[in-house]
Parts: sequence; structure tokens; C-alpha cells
Amino acid sequence: MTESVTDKPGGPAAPTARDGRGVRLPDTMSGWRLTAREFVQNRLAVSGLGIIVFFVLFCFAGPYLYVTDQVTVDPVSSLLAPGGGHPLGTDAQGFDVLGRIMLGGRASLQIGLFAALIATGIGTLYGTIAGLAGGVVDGFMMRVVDTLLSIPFLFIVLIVATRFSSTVLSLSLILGAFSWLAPARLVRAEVLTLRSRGFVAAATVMGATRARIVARHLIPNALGVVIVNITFQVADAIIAVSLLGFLGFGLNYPDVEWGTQLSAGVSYLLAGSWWLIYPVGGCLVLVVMAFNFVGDALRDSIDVRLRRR
Amino acid sequence: MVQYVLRRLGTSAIVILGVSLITFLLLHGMSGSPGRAILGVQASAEAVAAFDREHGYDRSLAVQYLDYLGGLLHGDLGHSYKLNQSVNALLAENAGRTAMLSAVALLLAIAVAVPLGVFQAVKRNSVGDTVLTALTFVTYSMPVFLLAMLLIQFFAMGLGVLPAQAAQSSSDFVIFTEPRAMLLPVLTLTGVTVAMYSRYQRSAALDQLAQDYIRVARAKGLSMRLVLTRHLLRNACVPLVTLVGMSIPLLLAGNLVVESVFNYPGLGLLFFNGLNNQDYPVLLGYTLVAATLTVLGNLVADVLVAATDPRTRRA
Amino acid sequence: MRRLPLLAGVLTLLLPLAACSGGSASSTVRKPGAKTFGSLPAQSGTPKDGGAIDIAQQPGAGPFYMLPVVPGAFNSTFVTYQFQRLMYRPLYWFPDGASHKVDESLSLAALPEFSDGNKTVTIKLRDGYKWSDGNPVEADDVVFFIDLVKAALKKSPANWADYTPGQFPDSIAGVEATSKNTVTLKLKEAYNPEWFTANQLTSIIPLPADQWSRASDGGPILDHSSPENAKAIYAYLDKASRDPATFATNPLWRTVNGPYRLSSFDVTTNAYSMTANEAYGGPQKPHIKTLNFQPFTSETAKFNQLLSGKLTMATVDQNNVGQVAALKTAGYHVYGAPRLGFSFIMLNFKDTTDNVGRLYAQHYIRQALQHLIDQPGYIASKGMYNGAAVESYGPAPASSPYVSGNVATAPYPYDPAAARKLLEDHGWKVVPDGATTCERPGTGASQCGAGIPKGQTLKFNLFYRSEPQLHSAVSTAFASAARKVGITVSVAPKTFSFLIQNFNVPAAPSKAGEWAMSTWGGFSTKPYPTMSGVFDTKGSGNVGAYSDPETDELIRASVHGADRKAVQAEIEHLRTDLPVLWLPNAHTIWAWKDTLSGPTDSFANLPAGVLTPEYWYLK
Repeated sequence: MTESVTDKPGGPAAPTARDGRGVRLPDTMSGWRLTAREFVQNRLAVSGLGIIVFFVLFCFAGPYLYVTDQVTVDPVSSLLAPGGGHPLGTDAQGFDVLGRIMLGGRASLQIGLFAALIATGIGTLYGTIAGLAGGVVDGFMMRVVDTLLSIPFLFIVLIVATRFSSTVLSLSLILGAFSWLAPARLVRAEVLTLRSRGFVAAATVMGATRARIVARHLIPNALGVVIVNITFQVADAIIAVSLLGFLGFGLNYPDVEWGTQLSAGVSYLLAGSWWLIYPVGGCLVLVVMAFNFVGDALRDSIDVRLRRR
Repeated sequence: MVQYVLRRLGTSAIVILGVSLITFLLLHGMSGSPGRAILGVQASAEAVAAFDREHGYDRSLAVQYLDYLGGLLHGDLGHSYKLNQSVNALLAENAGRTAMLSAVALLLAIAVAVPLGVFQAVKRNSVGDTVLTALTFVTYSMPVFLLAMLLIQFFAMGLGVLPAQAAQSSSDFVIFTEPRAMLLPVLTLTGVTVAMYSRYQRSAALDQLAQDYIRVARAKGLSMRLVLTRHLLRNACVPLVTLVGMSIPLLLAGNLVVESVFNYPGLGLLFFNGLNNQDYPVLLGYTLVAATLTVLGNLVADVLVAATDPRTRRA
Repeated sequence: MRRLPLLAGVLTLLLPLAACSGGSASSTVRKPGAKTFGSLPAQSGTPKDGGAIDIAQQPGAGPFYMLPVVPGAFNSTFVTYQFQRLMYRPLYWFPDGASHKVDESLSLAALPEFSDGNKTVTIKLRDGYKWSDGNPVEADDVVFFIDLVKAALKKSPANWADYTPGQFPDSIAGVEATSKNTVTLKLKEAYNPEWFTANQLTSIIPLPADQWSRASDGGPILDHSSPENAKAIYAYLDKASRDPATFATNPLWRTVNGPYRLSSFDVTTNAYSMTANEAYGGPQKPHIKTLNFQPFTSETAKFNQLLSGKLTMATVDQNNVGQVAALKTAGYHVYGAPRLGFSFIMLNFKDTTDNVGRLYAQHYIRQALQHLIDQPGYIASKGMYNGAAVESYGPAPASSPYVSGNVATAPYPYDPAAARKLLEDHGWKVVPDGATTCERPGTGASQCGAGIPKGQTLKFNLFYRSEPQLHSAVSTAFASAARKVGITVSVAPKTFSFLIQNFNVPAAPSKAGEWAMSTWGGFSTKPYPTMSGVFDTKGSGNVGAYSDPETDELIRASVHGADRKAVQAEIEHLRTDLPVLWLPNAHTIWAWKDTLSGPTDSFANLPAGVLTPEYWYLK
């Protein structure tokens, strides 16, 4: 079976080592407070959170402070170097690059979040059902996941993207609809583990109904895994949408996201237009990295919580 | 164990069948007539109809799929009308170069990632660990195409020390005959894999460090170095083997992008050109091969896990 | 998708540029709409024989078929002009240097004579041309070709790329070799002699009947006039033609009448070489001994090879126009000119969604839309054509001998104010950056027009080809200009094959309601640039289902009338009637080493994709 599959690096829980060193946490602390404490102690996680907050402000509030015209194409003032009213120059359409990064970042973040929520939503539901059902149903459901996971992601998404026109919603749906596989596996594995745990068995013995077990025990306990997964999914979706945009199937005028910006920039790099690449590329990496930092730290700290039970 | 492997083989076959069905339906459902795509916009309706009829594209999808499946059973992946070669031949011609690129990048990635991960685990939370962790996070957070672009920009354009394009020779061993021209593609592919492996390895090593046998070994007075080489490295490597098996999709996706950015004539470039030309047989063939490799990789990984941990066989 | 490979090349190109200070941008700026890209170098050096040159193949366009009756699936201009024409000369050669017309001096026959009310054509073969086996090129070789084409088409209409149902050879009532060097064609109806010569007879390629008129290796020579025999002969030749492994070795293909013949063909890479045919009977015996045609996986790979000096000649992709200065430094001549054809934003007159079809039916609306396209601006923009295009407002470039100079003059130049006035004069309330609506419905002169209700908005979707970047840039600029007069143009990319399969009224009538505009580049045309089949009501390539009785009448005159200049009126009418929205015509650019020289005409035909390497020599 494949429940051993971990989709993310750092699969095996890391922080056992910390326990091993004898760090003892007060037993009175509640699980969630423990999580928060563990999280705050992680330098990378805090800086990740800071980066995310900064970019949300930059992309959503920025355009009100730094007002630029992002709808009028101006072929004549295309590819202007930074300076003189355009701190980061202009792109091939004559749009101000700094203003465009804000606009693009807004869409990238939105798509990232929506796609992650969709993927995790579908995945959680699917994984829970498979995990609870077990037997033939589980086997079949997991073969479907195996099959879809075996088809190159890019292949499916590109074919589907060719058919539908790209909007924030449609891109989120497409990406979400094809990235629920990893969360489905994770959640199923989690459900399987929880099922065999003592407290579920105890509840069953005590005559609790199946629905009650799911509502009172499984969902709260699997929540940690789900939350961690959303964070990683956001990072992955931002990368995936940038790839789509880069290949020419991102958002269309007058909207833009970072991948489309990069792809447009690449075509004119020969004119020495480095300002079309580095700022956008840098923003993209920073944001994705920030989400990975946060996700990693969250997982570590939630692991701590679970172990304390 | 034999029974387990047989069962897994069976499900793998079903998965591959499913892949063939899904890709087939996706491709054919998405577009009208392959004849139009091949003959061009100005071709007459008569010619397009004749082409579709000659090549069986006018039949029902179910019949076409069964026909395709029949070919598959005989190992025939079809014929590319765009390239006038059988898909088998096209894949065979290009597979060597892609395999060589992937293998070199993979070996390099493992060679770097294992010591790196163990070092980070042993020196957990030191400055070195934090710096390395941050660095792997940066690489891990980068789309492959961006990494490739930055490498090209820095080494080819900025320093001017390496060519921006991969070697174009048709030899499978071009990676050894023209190493300079292959350095950037290999680096890109290695970069994305190292980031993943080293983080995995770090966690795995951390897990091992916390295990009792290590503490016992240390308590027995074994030197840290001996502990590392004797126990830790060996035990921490088992999950890596399974990871390699499971990272085949990652490698394939990386290859796609790397080959097209660097113009390296392999399977990835073949697939990209096929997408452009709507070359169905090539697209189907490649996807099926990619899926088979992925399934096999998973199979090997699972069997290895099962061999070391009999509990998983039950499921 | 192709942008990925491009990117690598684009990046590579920075390398040499870093060396020359100032970058490329300033050095390559040229006046918008220059008729040609750069100029042709004068002939220099003394011709000498021998040597070899390396020519780049077009990526992905390898020659996969040998017999010059090429099926549509294997056809491309590259295969025609850079493979077959070098070995098998057409009856009528085209173009004549830079001029898009038949060049009699390189043709196997004198220009045809038309008689019997343009229903009989007499073709006299010229002396001197012979097959490499020593036999002269004869009238029977022409008849053999026609018999083979008929046999091919009988098997499948997809078997000959040049075929349009109803036209050649369907239009031929009878063909006869009236003497050893005369062929007489009887036509079913009268055709315009100019059209028939330039667009139909140019497709005829005499084939060596003495060698090929057989149905098996070493089999007896058969009488190809019998359909049964022709069928068997075609089956035999077709089979041999599909086997690239034997292209260079099959004795069949050793018989040629062109200046070169195939000497090697690599099945896996499609690299091929040609060697001079000493027996060539044309006006110029080849100087250069060997032509090596190198395959490439992408434009980028090709361009890199060019920059490194390892190629003698290659085309320069639009994306690399900024690199021309670097090419010149590397010792290349660079020259470009518009190809024979035109570029457009296609309008779908059958789109019923949001009444788009009814809107298009109004000439003033098409006019207003054309007023929003800034051709000179697009050409000048570094983000678009970068100077490598000409203004063009008709189905043929100004360099065609069949058009008046008008095609380079905008009938409705870029002028958003004029677009706004047109709409307002016809009862629209223009709301810049908003939604312009019809206020005065009706069919009067100052009203919106038939079938357009009050409150109607101007909303169009425009699908552009996903690569290269140019289509996205042009579509976006157009959408932005439209927005300024309250017209909504929503743009979205599609792959080329998706566009031509689905957004194409004759090919996919059921999807006519899904698209209002599309742009993927353009059409290339035959030498005599009539839009028969493209803009006539029943044309199979009438992608947008444009229909106009006057155009139909003019096209009829171009194809069937007696006036050899009839097409000029047709083009003039289309120019102002706007069956599509006109876009600039991009230059096709070639670069070749300055060590290669020859008469200017032998390079002037390069932008048409046509090679006459027998005239070239290495200095």
C-alpha cells in the first residue's frame, strides 16, 4: 500500500530529536497553545509569516498608495528602463512594472489560496471517506488516486487550460481539481492511524455512533494535518499557476499574474530588460518560500501537540 | 511477500490502463478533427474528411480506444504523422538522452543530499543548519523554469563561462563528451532534486538520532563518527531509496522544463513539440511511458518498504 | 509552448551583446514600415566551383516524402522549396527574384498560350532541360505528372496538398502530348490565363516517365494513361516515398532534373545533404558542390548555431530581430521582406452570441474596429514587431506585381476619435472605459443597423495563438484601444491547432457561436493573389464565413475572367470592405555568411522561402 507516501520533503516527523534532548514541556499546557509556542520559537516560521503579511499588504493595499495605469497599452513607451517615474521600468505593453507586480501578486495569491482550499477540501473529504470505508471501496478510491497521480500534472492541466479561458476562478478550479490527490492520501493515512488509536477504539467500545466518532474525534484530530496541507498547497499552487502563466495560459488582459509577467519578460530579455525578470522572480520565490516556512513550522509544532496527547 | 508483489503488479496494470483511458479521452474529447490540425487551415474539407477516414478518426471514440488498446497490447504506440516515424522509434531515439540526464542529475543529487542532510541533522539548529535550510527552501520554492533562467543569466550571460544551450549531439553519451554544454541543465535538475532530498534526509536522520539504538551506541562509547557511518547513514538511507522511487514524477516534470529551456533533444522536448503540433500519438505515447515509470517507481518503493516493514503488507 | 525554447535563446543572445556597448536596441531601430529589412548586398568576388555550405532546416519541418506529389500531411513550403524544387523543377518557376511572379527564364516551359476563349492551353517545353539519365524533359513527363495526381486524388483527396476540389486537375477535360515538346490542355470552362498560369500550372512538376512509370522495382515501363496502371504506379511510388531510410539510396530518386540531387538522408535527425547534378540543363550550372541541410529542435537552437558562425545560412525568427546587429558583427548579411500573404484578426460573421454577426454586418463597425489598430505603432514597438514588418491593408503585399501601391495605405488609419465619431454618427452612446450602447436602433443612415436592438453593447471575444508572444501583444494593444471607446474585447490564448480545428466556421460550424475574433498570424497566398477559397461565400478556407456578393463577383472575374489584371480590383475592394481586420505583414528574414555571394536576385527570393543555390558561390 502507499500510505507511506509523503508528498512533502521532511516527511518523517522531525522534532522527536527535541524531545530526545529532554526538553520537557509543562503538562498543563493545552495542545493548541503548545503549537503556538513551538511555532513562535521557529525563526524561519516567524520570518515567513512576516513575508506573507508584507506581500498581502503590498499587493492589496499597495495599488492605493502607488497608483498606476494598468489598462492602457502604450506601444511607444514599451520596455523603458527603471527611472523617471517608473522605479522598475515598463514592460512590453508599456505598463509600469512595479504597479504590475502588485496586480500580478494579487491574482497569484488569490489563486494560490483558492486552489489550496479547493484541493484540500476535496482531498479531505475523499481521504476521510476512503479511510473510513476501508475494504474494496477504499481500494478502488485509492487506485483512482494512483491513476491520476501517474499522469504528468502538466499534461492534464495544459490540456484543460487550452479548453477553458483563464480567470482567477477557472485557474483556481483547474489547479484545485487536479491537486487534491496528495491531501487525499495524507488525510486517509491520518484517518487510518487515528482509527487504530486507543481513544477511537475506546469510543467505539463505549457505544458512540460512527457519525459522532467522526465529528468529535477524527475531524478535530485530523485538522492539524489539513491545516498544514493548506499552507503547502498554497505554495504549490502559486508555483503551478506561475508555470501555466509562463507557458502562455495564465490570466489575460487586463488581468495578470506573476507567471504571465515572467513569460512576457523572458521574450524581451535580449533587449537587456532585466527589470522584467528579477523583481517578479524574486517576489515569487519569496512568497512561495514564506508559505513553505510556515507550513514546515506548523507541521513540526502540530506533531509536538499530537505526541503530547 | 511474493503474493504481495503479485497483487501490487496487478493493481499497477489497472492503474496504467486507467491512465491510457483518461489521456485518450482528454486528448480526443478536447479537439475535433486531427486531420484539420495536420493538414492545416487552408486544406479542403474533402481532404480533411479523407484523412480522418483513412486514419480511423471518424470512428466512434470507443472503437478508436479499443483499437489503440489493441496496438498497445502488441507494444505498438502508434505512428506520428507529423514526424513520419513510429512512436516506439521516436521514444527509443530520445529516451537514452533523457535517461542519461536524469540519472546523472539523480546521482549527483543523492551524493550531495545525503551528507548534507546528515550534517544538518547532527548540527541541528546551528548557524550552518539554518543557512543550509534556508538555501534548500529557496531552491525548493523556485519553479524549475525560474531556476534554469537564473542559472543561464548568471553563468552564461553574466560570467560568460558556460553555454546557455545544451549540447545538440544525437549521442546518448553527450553528457560525458560535452560536459561543459551539459553543466547547466544538470545543475538545474540537480538543484530541484537536492532541495527535496536533503530536507527529507535531514528529517530522516533526525528521527534516527532520536532512536534508542543510537543512544545505546553512544552510551557504549562509540565515537560519533562511527555511529554516523555504521548506523545512522545506513538506516537513514532506506527511506531515501523509496523516495527516489517516488520522485520519478518530479524528475519527469523537471526534465520537461529543463529540456525545453535548454533545447536538449530528449523525451521532454519531444513531448513539448508534440503539444505544439497536436501530435496525438506522441502525446499519448509519452504520457503512457511516463505513467508506467511513475507506477513502477511507486511499486519498487512500496515493495522495498514492505520488505523492511512487514506490517504494511496487510493493507 | 514554443516560448520555452525561445527563452533560452533569447537569454543566450545577451552574451555577445554584452560585449558591444549600448546594446542592440538603438542600433536596430528603423523606420516603421520599411519595405524591406536591410538591403541586398551587391554581388562580389569571382565565382568559383566547389565547396559546401550548411543551411538550417526549419524546426519540425523535415522532409518526409519524396515524390513531388506531396500529401497534405507532409507538405510545407520548406519541403517544397528546400527539398523537392532543388531536385525536381516545376513547369513554371516562381518567384522572379524579389518579384512575386513567374520567372520564365528558370521555367521548363515557355509561358503558355491560351486560345479557344481561354479554354485551351498550349505549353511548349524549352530545349536543354534533361533528366540526369540523359533523357530530355518531354511533354510525356508533364502528362505523367497529371496522370499520377489523378490517381493519387482518386485514392484520397488528402494525397495532394495543392488540391482544391473543382480546380486542377478536376478542371481539365483532356490532356495530350501533341508533340515531343508540346502539351495541350483542354479546360472544362474558361479560366483567367493569369490565374491559371500563376496558381495552377505552377503546381505541375514534370516527372521522369521513362524511369518511374512502373509498378515495381525493375518492373516494365507501363502506359500511365490507363487509370489502372496509373493507380499501380502511384501505389508503388507512394510506398517508396514514405521510406526515408532509402531516400538517398533508392535508384528511383537518382533521376532528377534539378541542379542538385539527394546524397544522404539521416532518418533519425532528418539531416540531409545534396550534391550538385552535373547534368543540370538550366541556365546556371551549380557552383557549390554540396548543400548540407541541418535539422534543429527549435528556433533558438538554430539561432545560436548561426551566431556561433557554424551555419552558412538560416532564417531569423521574429523574436531574434533585436539581435541583428550581433549577427552582422559575426559576419552575416541580413535581409528580409514580406512574404506573399497577409496577416489579420479574423472576424466571425456567423457568431450569433451577443449579436456579433449582426454587428459585423455593418461596414461602419468593421471600419471603427480597423481605426483602433495602430499598425505603425505596432511595427515600431520594441514589444511587438520591432521594425521588422510593413504596413499592409489587403490580401497581398505591395511588392506583388498584381496590386496597386494602395495596399500599403491605410483605408482606415489608427484614429480612435474617428472610430468614436463613426459609432456616434450611427446612433451609439460611446462610454470610454465603459460599455458603449446602441441608442438609436433602426436601419436609417444615422441608426445602428439591421437587427441591432436598443441597449446593444459591443462585446467581442478574441482568441489569439498562444505562441509566439507577438499575438498576445497585438491582441492586448487592440483590446486596450477598444476599451477607450467602450468596446469590450476579451482576449484569451489558444494553441494554433485548437484555433484552426474549432474556431473555423467551415470546419466546425457548430462552434460558430463561441468566437467573435481570432488571430494566429495569417495566410500565405499563391502568386496571383486572388482570395478564391478564402473570402468567397463558398470558400472552404473562409474561416470567418465572410460573404459579400460584390466580392464573389470580383473573385469570379479573377479566376474566370479574361482580364489578366482582374485581381487588382478584387484586392482593392477587399482592402476597404474589411473581410478581416488588417494587421502588419511581418518580414521573413534570412541571414547568410558574407563569404557566400551570387547575383542579387538569387538572394532576393529568399524571403519567399525559395532557394536558387545553383547561382551561389563561396568567395
